Amino acid sequence: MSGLEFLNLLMGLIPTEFDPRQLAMWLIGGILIFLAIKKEMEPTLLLPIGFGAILVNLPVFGDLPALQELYEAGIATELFPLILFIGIGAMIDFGPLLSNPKLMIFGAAAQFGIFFTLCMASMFFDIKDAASIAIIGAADGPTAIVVADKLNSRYMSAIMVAAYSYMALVPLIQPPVIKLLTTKKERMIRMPYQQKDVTKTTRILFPIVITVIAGIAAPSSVELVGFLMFGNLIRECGVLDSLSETAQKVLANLITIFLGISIATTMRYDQFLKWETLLILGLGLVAFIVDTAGGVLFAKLLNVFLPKEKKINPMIGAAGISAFPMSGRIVHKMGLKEDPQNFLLMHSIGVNVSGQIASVIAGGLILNFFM
Amino acid sequence: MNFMHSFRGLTAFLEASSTFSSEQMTEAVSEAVETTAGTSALTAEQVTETVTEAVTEIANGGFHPEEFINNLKYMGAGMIGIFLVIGVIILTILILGKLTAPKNQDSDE
Repeated sequence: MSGLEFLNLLMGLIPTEFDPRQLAMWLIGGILIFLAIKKEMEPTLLLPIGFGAILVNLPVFGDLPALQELYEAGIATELFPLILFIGIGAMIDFGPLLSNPKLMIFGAAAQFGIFFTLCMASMFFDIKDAASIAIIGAADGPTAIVVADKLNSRYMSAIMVAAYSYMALVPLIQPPVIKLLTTKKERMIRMPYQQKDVTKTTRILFPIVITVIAGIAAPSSVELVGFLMFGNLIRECGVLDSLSETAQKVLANLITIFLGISIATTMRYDQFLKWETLLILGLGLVAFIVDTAGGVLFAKLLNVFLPKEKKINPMIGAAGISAFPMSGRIVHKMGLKEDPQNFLLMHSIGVNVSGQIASVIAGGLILNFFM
Repeated sequence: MNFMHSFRGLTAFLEASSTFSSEQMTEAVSEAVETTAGTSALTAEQVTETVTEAVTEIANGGFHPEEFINNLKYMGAGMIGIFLVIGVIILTILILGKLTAPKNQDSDE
């Protein structure tokens, strides 16, 4: 082999098609991995997404059909988010909600951010993309994936990154908004909790009835609600403990691994590095802020009509976003900070759980409007 | 012939500028075709102008503040819809609770 031939051979190893924007995507992937490991921000998703972002921006991406297959099989068909919902349903204890169902009203109020953001986003994007971006406010990754996918959004990766990043940032986003909208006196309102026993029959009937109601009222949400409630039925029926445990741990973990890396398939530099991505991140933040404000302000509005001894601590309205259980815990901690004897946990978790259902229904309504 | 010449020129320009993805190009051309469909006797300049307008619109992202007001109806319908569904769920849970409550609670106590 002559020197020239050897040089040509070496040159052949160097990728010919390399864009500097790919380097930028490596950096973004690195930042996501850093946030996942160092800051423990939604590590189960941000880490695979971060690694995937690096992987799909290597010059050889065309030679990685397996990843594309995974995306086609799991995300394009919406299988991964739906199966993940079985695991989430199996994890959720609807007990606090069933013992005080009136709290669900805050779950509804805290979806205001979704519809407000829909109007905001429609100023910049076509209505289907705007609806897909607005659903970031559901604070619920699987719902966001299903809605964006069904509406054929071109911004799936940006929506996913925003949805999961902001969920991880809930402890930073919510407290300032809550503080801004409430007085110290309001934050100190105590809400006595009366433990009510919820019968096993109620717990078993609940997921079935909710599925039927969602199927009738918001047909497009029935897949999401159905899978969520199926998981919960496995949990509550009492005869499928091993399946429940598998759904909560093994199934959810397995799907999460594939979900993250599959989402990253859409993070190719030419699709992701656009000014629209920044705009979507901004609109996602608006959605979370307005969701929080919607819940808090609705509670304050109710307080105008409630007698003094039945006043609601408006902070629990903020727990109506679906980021479970983070949001519920934040409200509880804020309550304790104002008054160490003020235990809001059961109320806030009840509202938080209702936010999970309400966000799925909101997703279904969005699909009803635009599909 | 004139039209083809202009269109090829525009396409070449777009490709060379590399700021447009294939989806954007497709969208722009589709929009232009939709706009010009059914009209007759269009000159090459008119078609080129339509395509250019569509491409520029997409390239600029398009800012339409009036859409906020136009889409408030979805906000209203969405919030009413979600409160209605949640209201039905609350009622159902309350009824479920009543129906499944243990009847001998007092005597047990």
